[in-house]
Amino acid sequence: MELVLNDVSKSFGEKKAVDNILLKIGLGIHGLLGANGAGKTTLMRMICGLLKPTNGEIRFNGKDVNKLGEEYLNALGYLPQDFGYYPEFTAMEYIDYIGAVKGLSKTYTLEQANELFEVFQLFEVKNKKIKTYSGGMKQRLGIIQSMLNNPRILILDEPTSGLDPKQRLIFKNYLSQISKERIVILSTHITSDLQNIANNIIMMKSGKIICTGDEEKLLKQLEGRVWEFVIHERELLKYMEKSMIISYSRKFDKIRLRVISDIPPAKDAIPLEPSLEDLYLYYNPEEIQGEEE
Amino acid sequence: MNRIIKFELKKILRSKLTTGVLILSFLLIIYSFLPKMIKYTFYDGNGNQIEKHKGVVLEKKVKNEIFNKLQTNEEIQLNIQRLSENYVAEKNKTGFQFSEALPKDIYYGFYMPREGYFYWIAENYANTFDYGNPHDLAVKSNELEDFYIERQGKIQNRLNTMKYSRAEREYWDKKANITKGPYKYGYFRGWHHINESLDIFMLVIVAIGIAISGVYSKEHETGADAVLLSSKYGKTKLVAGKIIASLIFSVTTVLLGILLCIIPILIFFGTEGWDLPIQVFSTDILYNWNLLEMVGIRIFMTILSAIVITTIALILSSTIKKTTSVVVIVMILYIGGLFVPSGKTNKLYQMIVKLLPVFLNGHQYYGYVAYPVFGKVLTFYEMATFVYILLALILLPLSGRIFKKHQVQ
Repeated sequence: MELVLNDVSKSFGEKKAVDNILLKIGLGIHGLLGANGAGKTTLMRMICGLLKPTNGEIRFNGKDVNKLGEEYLNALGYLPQDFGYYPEFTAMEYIDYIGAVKGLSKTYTLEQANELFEVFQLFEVKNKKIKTYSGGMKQRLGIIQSMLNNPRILILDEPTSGLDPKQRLIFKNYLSQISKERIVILSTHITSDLQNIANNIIMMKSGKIICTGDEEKLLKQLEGRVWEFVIHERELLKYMEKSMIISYSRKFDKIRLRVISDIPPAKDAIPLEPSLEDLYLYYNPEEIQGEEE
Repeated sequence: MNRIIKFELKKILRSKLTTGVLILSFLLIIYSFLPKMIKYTFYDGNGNQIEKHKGVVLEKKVKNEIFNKLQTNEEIQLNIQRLSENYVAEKNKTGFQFSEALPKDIYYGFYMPREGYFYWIAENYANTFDYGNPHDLAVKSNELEDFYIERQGKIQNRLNTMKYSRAEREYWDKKANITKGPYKYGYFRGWHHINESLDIFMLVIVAIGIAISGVYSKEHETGADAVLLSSKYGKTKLVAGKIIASLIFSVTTVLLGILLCIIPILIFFGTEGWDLPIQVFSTDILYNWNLLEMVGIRIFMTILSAIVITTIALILSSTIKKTTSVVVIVMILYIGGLFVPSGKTNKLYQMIVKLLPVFLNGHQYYGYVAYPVFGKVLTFYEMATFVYILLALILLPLSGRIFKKHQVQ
């Protein structure tokens, strides 16, 4: 099973949201990592047939997805970033409705829904109106609807937003379990969502893929370049000019820095194992934020 | 498919806006006839007020007795003569003080059961577009022309003011001849009230338009379109389901409203009079229907109006992404028709204006507008049905096409 994107581009007026993407996506979890505005959502919408590419084509198992029509959509499960629901419907009614639109029988829908309601801990409240749900519960309902048809291609746009740490873990574990026999494309800007579960990471910036590969391969480029050390707060400016600061935390007048540098940035700098977060911030330095300890 | 339709109907019905406008319009339907039942009275020959159902029973009995003959000119002139013989014109100062102008026994025993009948006759003798008054009948009884000759003459005068083609003129002349009388007259209060209550359905139609406005646009507003359009049947059966559900909703709403009005009216006032000619409303009418047919045609036109407003709302809803904007435009397009000048002199303009959705379920049978198409002359009803069914057949699938082609951004 393979999804191929051949020189796919999408422009909105003068702005190129997705720029000549060439990608082969096979079974497993593919993490689409990028800051807001990187083009992740536009790319996903094109894969789901919700946006027409300005250029290029998307093929599923060698066939143009536009020509496959219902056959392709039948294989698809999609969780949009802002998932729309009907407040006056109960969760079960909503899922039943989505099941009908997905062409699933009522019996199958109910069986599958009950299983997913159990997994995502909504079983007890499945007959409550969605308007009574919290943000996290709505997000879990969105995840359930995307998985309802047991899709061969699962597209999840920022699926963990609004989920508490426990729910994130449940989601990651479940996704990891079901990903072996399907294509999962998961977009996020939270690197921990992908850590240890993504088979492939696609880093996007300004509509382009800037690097792609498995976690190990990608992190190799930062091997021996991530350092940590403590400085006095008055030295911060000096290091900001000298090195690429990935993160910093302040404790009284001391600052603990995590930097990327080809050479040791300070005498007492300790080399660290690079993480996905380091890689993400390396490519998206505008996202760097410090914190108080 | 049935599941999709069921859920689409649920979506329409569960909207607070829909519930609100439907309840309001149904209350207005009830209000259109309920006071007529509660306040209904009929006077017996001695001037005693007989209320509610007993009054209805008495009215039917009295009218069956007095209108048991075909209303030939002779019969009509006899009744006018009897009114005139007992009438003191000077005592009727306002034109409506018949109780002053007639002796009590004549007023209650003769005039009151025939009051509507005398107004009907007076209208026939009045100038075109005037209502007439029994007072004029009583004072000019000796000068009155044959009732049916007067009717035909009046219609010819009206037809002469219109710029008809030969085919159209022949068409209307033929209609005038078919309906030239003599007519049956009698008790038809139930059908009269149903006819009045059907006017209120204009508001039901507006309510339907408001309820349907969000069918597509709400999906865009809430972001549900992304999930739906990426689902297997999101671009096929869902679209068909939305259209079918909207049509089911609108037609069912109209039918429910009609049952809500017709059943109580017919139970209270009875079904008598269904076979009377529509000319008992006005002799100006050229359609050869009885009252049952007239109500049937008005119900059909109300259903057609519901289909028209559904079509308008759906096409706008698929094009405009904001439901509020759709609601406003639907209301302007529908109610705005009431403010379009009728343009009495321009025939083509009149022909177009008459076809505006707001006029579809109105009293168009009073009008003399027909539509010459390919050598045939179509009535307003035939033309409106043809135009709007054609429009629905084009625009409804188009609304679905626009929705499924929508680029989710």
